[in-house]
Amino acid sequence: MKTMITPNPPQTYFCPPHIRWAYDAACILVVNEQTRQAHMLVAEEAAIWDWLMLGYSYAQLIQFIAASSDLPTVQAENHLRQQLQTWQESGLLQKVAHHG
Amino acid sequence: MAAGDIFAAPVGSNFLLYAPLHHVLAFVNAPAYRQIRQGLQGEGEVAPTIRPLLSQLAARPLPPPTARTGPLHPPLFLGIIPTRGCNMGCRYCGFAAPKQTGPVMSLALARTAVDAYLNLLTASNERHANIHFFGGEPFFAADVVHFVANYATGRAAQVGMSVHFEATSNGLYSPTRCQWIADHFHTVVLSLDGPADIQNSQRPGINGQPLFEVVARNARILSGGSAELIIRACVTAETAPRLPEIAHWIAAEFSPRAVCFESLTPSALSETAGFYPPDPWQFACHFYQAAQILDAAGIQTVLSTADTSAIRHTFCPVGQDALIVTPDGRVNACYLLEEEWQRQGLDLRLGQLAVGADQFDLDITAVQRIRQIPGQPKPRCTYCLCRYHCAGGCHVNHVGGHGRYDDLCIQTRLVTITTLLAQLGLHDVITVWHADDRLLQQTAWQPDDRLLMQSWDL
Repeated sequence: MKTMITPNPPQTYFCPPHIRWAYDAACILVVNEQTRQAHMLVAEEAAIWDWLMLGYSYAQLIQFIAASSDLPTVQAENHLRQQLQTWQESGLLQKVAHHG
Repeated sequence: MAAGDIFAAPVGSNFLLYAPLHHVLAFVNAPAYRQIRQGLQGEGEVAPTIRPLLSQLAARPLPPPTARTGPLHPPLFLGIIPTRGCNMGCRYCGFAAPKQTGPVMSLALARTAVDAYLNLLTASNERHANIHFFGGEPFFAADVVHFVANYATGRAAQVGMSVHFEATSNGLYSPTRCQWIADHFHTVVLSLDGPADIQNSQRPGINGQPLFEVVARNARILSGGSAELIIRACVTAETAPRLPEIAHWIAAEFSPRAVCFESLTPSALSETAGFYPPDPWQFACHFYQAAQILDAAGIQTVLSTADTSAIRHTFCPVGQDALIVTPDGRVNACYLLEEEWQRQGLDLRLGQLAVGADQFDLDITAVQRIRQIPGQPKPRCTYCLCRYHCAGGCHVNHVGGHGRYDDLCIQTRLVTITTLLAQLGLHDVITVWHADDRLLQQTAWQPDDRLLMQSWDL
């Protein structure tokens, strides 16, 4: 299980233990063991997932996305936010509730 | 008939006949040797049993390996040096780079290198890319490696290409990082010199701390992963007699595809630390014993200059159009430091790469010039039976000698002949030969291995 923090506002995501993933030659297969749903991540999606699971910080992820997509950092951050949102909605990531 | 590529090495009272361009490898006695010589010169009677061998030797040989010509495609591989920095303090390492403060390649330059390389491959309809990481220690700048692995995989997939990733590494990282390497890389060349006492003595941390346990743990992780593991052990005068022990240990602990035993390259640093290259005669005998042990475990044993699996024009990437990008965007033919080539009067710079460019800025004159470097045979190689696989060895570190074999030549010649005899299953012959110093000397010092130029009194 990996976690990461997104600033402005601070938000922590984590990958719940029932989510498993495996690397294939050109994709990452992510499986939700509770729902039995499988997600095949390819191209940039797979890259972001891999960097995320390596434990890179939010800021570092933005740098990776900016470099790989040749985007300004503002756009790279938007792209990252959307991707995290998508994975949260499909249950691959969960938000940690912040108190106080 | 031009038979300058048919070699014969005396092994006791018999001869090893080796003609790689004719696909001939044979072990013959003195009368057969004499008949073959006479037969090739169109003289004398040839026994029926000798005729098939003679006709194979008389047939048109393969053309000798030659330098590349024409435009630069496809390159042998894209080499990426994420940093010259390193997190270990190996006591013999002659890499005169700043240890922990080397510059790190920017992500933008790494992306540009991948793009320019894939553009070159696409232009020549290649479907397979090869990306090799060198250092320093490449994983000391792990973010560059993590970035390139994912970026190149995605970009290659877009154009229907696969990518083979290879890294040369010291093995000093966390289990998580190591598992990632095992999952993403196809080949890992891991520097591991031997059991704890050897590794800790030769390859300690920056402050001298023992790191054997970390590297050995990672060798186990890599053994269990999908990456092909090659263990590279640096052999010194002190460790050469322990090669069989090292082989037993590796076979028991890990699952590499191959073990590469390479002699220490001496440097001022290694001498200060008290490390010296092994005695070549001792190395050759112990190498064979180690190879027997590893072979029984299904593991290949390699000495890079004595690898007879292919004929080649050059020992290394130099001359094969490999494009090796340094952290500051220079594109070189060799991964060694520029100062090291310059010391030998060589210029191995191919060009440069500017961030954002869609192609390498290569000096085609330099490409052509560097391709010719391996074709300038060293005098001592001209008549040596190893010339088509050793190809003179490293263009930077194996120089000089004025026509006389040096220790690396002797080592290469003995290991080559031993390996060829082993391929013929002649293990008893090897045992007798290795046990007799006079016989080894006779074989190793033969100045001209060409069969037709020899004058053995038989």
